[in-house]
Amino acid sequence: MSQLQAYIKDLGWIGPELVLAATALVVLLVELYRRGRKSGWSLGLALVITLAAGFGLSWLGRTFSAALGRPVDLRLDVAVLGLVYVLVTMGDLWFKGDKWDRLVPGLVVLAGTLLAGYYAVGLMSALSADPKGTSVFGLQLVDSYSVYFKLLALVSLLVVTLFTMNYRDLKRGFGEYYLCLVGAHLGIMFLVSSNHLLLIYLGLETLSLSSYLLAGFRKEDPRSAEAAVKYVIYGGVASAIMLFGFSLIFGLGGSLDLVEIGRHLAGTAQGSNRVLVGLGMACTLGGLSYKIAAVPFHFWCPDVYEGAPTPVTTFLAVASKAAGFAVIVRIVAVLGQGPGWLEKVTSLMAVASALSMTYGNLGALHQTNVKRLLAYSSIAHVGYILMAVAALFGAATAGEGGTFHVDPRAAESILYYLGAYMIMNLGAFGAVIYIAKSAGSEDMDDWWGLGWKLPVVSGVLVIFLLSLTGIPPTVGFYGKWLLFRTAIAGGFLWLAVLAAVNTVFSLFYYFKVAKVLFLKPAEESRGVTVRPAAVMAVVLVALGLLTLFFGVLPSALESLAGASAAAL
Amino acid sequence: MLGGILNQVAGGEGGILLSLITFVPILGMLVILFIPKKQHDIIRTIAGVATGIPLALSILLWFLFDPSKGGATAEAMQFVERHAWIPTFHIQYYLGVDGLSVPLIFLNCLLLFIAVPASWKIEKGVKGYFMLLLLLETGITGCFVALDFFLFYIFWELMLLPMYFLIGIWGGPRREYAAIKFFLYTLAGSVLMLVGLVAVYLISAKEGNPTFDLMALAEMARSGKLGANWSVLGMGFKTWLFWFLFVAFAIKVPIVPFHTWLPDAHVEAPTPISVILAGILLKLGGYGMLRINFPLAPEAFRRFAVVLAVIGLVSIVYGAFVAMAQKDFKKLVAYSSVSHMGYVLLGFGSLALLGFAGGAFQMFAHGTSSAMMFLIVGVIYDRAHHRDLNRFGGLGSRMPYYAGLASVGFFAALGLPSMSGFVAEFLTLIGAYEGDHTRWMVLIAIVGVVITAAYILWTIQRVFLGPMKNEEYKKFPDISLREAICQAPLGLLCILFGVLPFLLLDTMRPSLEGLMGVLGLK
Repeated sequence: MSQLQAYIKDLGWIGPELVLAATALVVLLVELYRRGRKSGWSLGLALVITLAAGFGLSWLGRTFSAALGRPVDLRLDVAVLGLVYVLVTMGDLWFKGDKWDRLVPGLVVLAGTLLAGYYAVGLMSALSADPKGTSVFGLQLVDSYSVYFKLLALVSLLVVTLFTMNYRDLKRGFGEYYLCLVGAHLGIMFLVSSNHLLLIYLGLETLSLSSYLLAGFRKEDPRSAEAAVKYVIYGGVASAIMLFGFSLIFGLGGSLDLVEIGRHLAGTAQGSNRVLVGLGMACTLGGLSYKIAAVPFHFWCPDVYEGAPTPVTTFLAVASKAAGFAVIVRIVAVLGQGPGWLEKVTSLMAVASALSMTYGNLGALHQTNVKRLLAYSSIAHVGYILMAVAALFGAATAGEGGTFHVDPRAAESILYYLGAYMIMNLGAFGAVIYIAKSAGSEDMDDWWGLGWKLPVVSGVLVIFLLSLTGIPPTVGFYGKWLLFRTAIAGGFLWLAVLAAVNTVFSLFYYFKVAKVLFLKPAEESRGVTVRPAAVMAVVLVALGLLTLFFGVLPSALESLAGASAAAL
Repeated sequence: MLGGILNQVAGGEGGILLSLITFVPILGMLVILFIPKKQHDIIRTIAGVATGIPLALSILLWFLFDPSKGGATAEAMQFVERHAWIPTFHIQYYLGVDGLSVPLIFLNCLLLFIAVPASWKIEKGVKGYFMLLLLLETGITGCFVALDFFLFYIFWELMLLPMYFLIGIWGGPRREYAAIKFFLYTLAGSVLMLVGLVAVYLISAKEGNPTFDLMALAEMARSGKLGANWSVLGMGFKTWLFWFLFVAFAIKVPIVPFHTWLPDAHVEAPTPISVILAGILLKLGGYGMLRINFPLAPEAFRRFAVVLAVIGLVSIVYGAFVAMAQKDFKKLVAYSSVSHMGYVLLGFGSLALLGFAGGAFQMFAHGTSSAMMFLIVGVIYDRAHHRDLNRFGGLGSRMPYYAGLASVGFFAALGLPSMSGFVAEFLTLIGAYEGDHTRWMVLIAIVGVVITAAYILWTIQRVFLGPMKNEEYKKFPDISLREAICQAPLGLLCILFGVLPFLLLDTMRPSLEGLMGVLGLK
């Protein structure tokens, strides 16, 4: 087999990314055409690209099957999905008008996301035999760990797209919006499987740049503009800090490849180097902590969450955060095996965890803007997850040979919680979009008694709040139980107790929302002017049922998380 | 044929009687979910059916139950249902009952069934109200039948949400405050339990048998295998575990000083919810101690039993004095609960079989008498729209049936001989006298009995006797049939178990003896 053929074969492994990239391109071209700046060539180009995408996809399906050595030929399935994709895109050319302007790019993205998701599910099942997967071009590590995060990203993209299609405050520029959104998720998908410092940086910047644009997308709203500027400035500083950390690690590890660095450091990180390695790790993790908004890198979070359009906030709180965790956990897992400085990393994480959960919960207590409240709550949840990152190596002490091994249960608890966190936060933000639209305000003082007018969505929101608090039978409770177990088993009993105390605090503000919705009679409410589309309610009910389902039968998600964690 | 069906449902391997009792209410809730919200009567009727079926089944359960098998151990459990649920952590769907839980399950089903007619007049958010009520029933019953710690915890938490909304939406003027206070207090206890839960699991894993099975854990604790050589911050693991769990359950009981949520919650809750709260929710605290707290840390329990007894004693006397000082009728009843639940703890603290029997009996007796007292308060509140004891008077002459029923409830609470409260207090005090370190406490507890008699008699005097203080009260109609139907069964039970206490004691005693064995007291 020639070199070229091998490369082509490798493409099968990054099928989901390719599909998303094609989707982004198509959205852009469709937008150009719709804007009226059309000329024959742009229409022609759009047609060519979509057709090429369709054929390309069916070809990819074949390559993909071959690459994975799967007995099942995926050509047919993929061709069908590809056809849907082409049809949606082509359909766009016939439907005109404001309504379609809003709808069509969203539908294209939905189709593309489903297709990419289909690939990713295929990859996941193909990887079940060998979770370690393969390395593509020596840069991308396609293992079950990364595919798990890709699946999370795709679910998030799917739901956020649905939210956006029903988010009326966004009035124009849908094409650019979706381009940025797909671009950000593309960045995430590269980021989570990066095995190379440079690629981590590139993935992170793709994600960040798209996020900056998205945060400021409602140009007419000064809060949105402020959010974007804040986000850019903090983001720039964090990137610089992270790059500095990378440079130190590169200098000491002699490579940009994570595994190589880990191997090198495991042998040599002694004496004076320990300080430098520790500093490098601290800077790297600090820069990444910005993405997950862990204390003390959280200052942007409430303002950006409040100012950004709510679907963007959803994305920032869910997919962007999960990606940050994916990288942090991978770096800690791969580089943490060296002797001598592991304790420093874990104690750093433990402190960040304690600060984040306490600060987040205390900050949330007095918020009345629901988006701000959820922003602080997300900081608190970062704290809970970091608890398990600190305990990633279990109760290990510098033992035989100076190497540590990742406790698979600990990694599993992180992955499970991120999945749980995604489901319940998607739901919570979606309900906020719905109710805020009906009430005409994001301030919960305007929400009194609305629960009686919007019983379905408000009822589902209560389920999400229960789950965020960690009360059974919800997915959030089981996730929290896994985190507690990990922390206690890893010797961080004090963190677990602190988290328990924090849980009680958090109940107070989560149920402030429930109280506002239901504890005043309907007659005292401001009334509902607008009712968002029923699709929104359907999506939210589905997420609510999922929250309960994984709370009662957690094994389904748990075994997936466990299998993915095995790749670390 | 009926016998065959019974055997199928209840008996032996594969019986699902306990699951039915637990989950029929939640099925009713799902049915109500799809009924249009204007159909109030249909919703109420469905709620009646969905609470009536478990009541019938719980009576059946008591008849089919064989007390002689003992209790508190895996072998003695009856109607066992056991399936793997979350295999990664050895979590099981493990249900079973013994003589401790059977009467309480019956009491629970009865009170929830009574709550439906008692709630008939509620017109606001009827659909939501009954859905939450049914969800609550599943949560409570689940706690009484669960034999897996994790499962127990899930049911335990399941009760919180419906209770929060039931107080918060349908309660009195300060309902928001009362609801969140109840929620926060209980959740604080719950997270303590959660930490204990995780720790117990990890310890059992260390011992080579990772499990949440309460019976197996108790067995390990008894043979000293549950964290014997562990200590955290200079205190033995077992001691930590004991106090963590104790506080979690003590908040629910509630005992002084964790009781302050109770008067608020009781006063603000609507009558049927107060009935459930006082009648059965508080019992979960005592039940949790017997089923989980003591068996998992028997050594610490024996060591700290005297502390428990003192706490119980303080609750008895303090609760009684505070009750005497109340002007609000409902608050008086609420504080009388604090006082009466103190006997439960005093009985357990005595470490004597009679003390345990007294405590367990008191749980049932108080469940009926306090529920009845709250219904009595509800009747007068519905008419007068206030609860100020000093503004009533002479109601007995205008509402004779009401006064008659009310005095049954009051005398049961007072502990009049031939009423169930008397048996409970008598057994407790004898038990306390038997216990070496609790003997002196009997003297003080007796004082509590006297104060109890004082405030109850004084209440009867202020409400029913003497001249009518307000002319308007003369127009009050006597107790309605619906209200009487709610109270009558409770009054009957108070008398029945007061005259024939062995009906209840025979069910409980072998199980209590088994429990004494598990706790290493024999």
